[in-house]
Amino acid sequence: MTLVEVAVVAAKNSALKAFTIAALALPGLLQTTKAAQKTIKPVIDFQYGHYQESDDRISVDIYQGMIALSISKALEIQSNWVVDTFSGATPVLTMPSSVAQVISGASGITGVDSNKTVFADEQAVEVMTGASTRETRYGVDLGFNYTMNDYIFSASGNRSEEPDYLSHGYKLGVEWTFNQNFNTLSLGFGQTFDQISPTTRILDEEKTDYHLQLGFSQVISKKSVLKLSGSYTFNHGFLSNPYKKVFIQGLDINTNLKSGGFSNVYYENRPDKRHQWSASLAYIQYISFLGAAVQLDYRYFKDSWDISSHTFEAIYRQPLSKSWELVSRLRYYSQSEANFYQNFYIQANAKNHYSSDYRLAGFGTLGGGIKLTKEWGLASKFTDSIKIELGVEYSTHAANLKLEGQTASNLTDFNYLLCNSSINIKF
Amino acid sequence: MTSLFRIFLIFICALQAACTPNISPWERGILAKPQMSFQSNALESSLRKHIQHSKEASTGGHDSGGGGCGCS
Repeated sequence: MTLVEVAVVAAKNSALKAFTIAALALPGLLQTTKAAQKTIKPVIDFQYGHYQESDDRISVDIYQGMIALSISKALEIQSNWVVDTFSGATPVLTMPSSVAQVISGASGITGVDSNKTVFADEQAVEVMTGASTRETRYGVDLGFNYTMNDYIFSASGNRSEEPDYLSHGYKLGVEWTFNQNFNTLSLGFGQTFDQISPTTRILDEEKTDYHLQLGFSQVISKKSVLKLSGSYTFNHGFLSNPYKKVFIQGLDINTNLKSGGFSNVYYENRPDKRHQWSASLAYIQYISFLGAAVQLDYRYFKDSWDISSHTFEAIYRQPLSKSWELVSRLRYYSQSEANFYQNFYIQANAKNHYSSDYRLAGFGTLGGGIKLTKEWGLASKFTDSIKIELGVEYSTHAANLKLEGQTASNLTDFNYLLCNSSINIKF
Repeated sequence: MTSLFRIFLIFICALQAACTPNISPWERGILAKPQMSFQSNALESSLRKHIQHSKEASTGGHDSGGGGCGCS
């Protein structure tokens, strides 16, 4: 007797039977079984997201879409697109305030006083780009999933284009479900090939990324599941940010660093190789008396630039009446700084690597948000279901939120808000 | 790197050997509920990851990948 037959015998009435058969699929864990239930009908998703940083820093509008079409019981094709438009000011340089020549109220600097000697413990100032920065990115990917017995094979290609950045990539993956659907094992590999040509300087550089991903999920009990993931990424090529500058005192006049337009100011220079590793753990526990579930996530990250980070996240999903659901989340992130990062440099260093990009500094981020979801089953003659979501999150990025004590200045602290609304239609 | 993956694989083998839970097919109802899913909305998840990736120095996780810059 097969598992399905056992289940059907066990089901005493039709509602229980339907529920039991659906339950056998374990859709929360396994994509494999979704394919087995599929009919040849499309699924469409649209999402609008808005990101806003404090202090008139950048804001981004993000429009995304997804369509999935089942060609047969085994083959599904899927395409995603994204259009991002960002505008606003971003930090371009941090430097000692004693030598920065500024006009009151202006965002940039007018000059650098090269006659003064700078010391390591001096107060720094952050120099921003003008507020008129505006740029749009267009991204698209196209891929397929093919289900064969307990395996899903997937492949996709993607392209992303901005005025100063062009990226092409592909991903290949396989997922294996075994042990009576209690386990999945997945393996993925991808590459991206990027071309960088900034709009404000003559430069044409390339970067290549290799990405390897391993995943494993395990049903622990009737009410709990666990997932483990590991990843390795290797970046090679031009890894600097082409717009970011650094202040370096006393650099050799024959340096290969490009001048940033002012005395002692240069474009940043990062190593041309970076190895990154991560290990992640996620656990979901169902809470019977609330009908809710709690998910706890942890990720450890380390790279060859001596950056390491810890990420903790808790997600609480509470179904409400009439197909409403409330999801709340809390996230804490902490990273240590890159071994070549400094606010400014009072002397040249031996490896010739320099960056004052705030993303390579030591800092922490604390954030939280809520999301409200409503689903209408059999919403119309043409649709199976329609689902809408509205979410908002607020985060604080601060040097003193870093684990094991503050190492960077509070200069680049900021807050940000992320809102999103989406609609999912199943035909 | 290799040691990290070796530990990961040993852990998976140990867990798998220890964890074939005694759950009958008709007892899997809770596991099939939407709130027991690791990723409920792929677009929302990709939006959040894109923002985090452009503000933080870390990559990787349960479903990572990428493309594009979003460098600011």
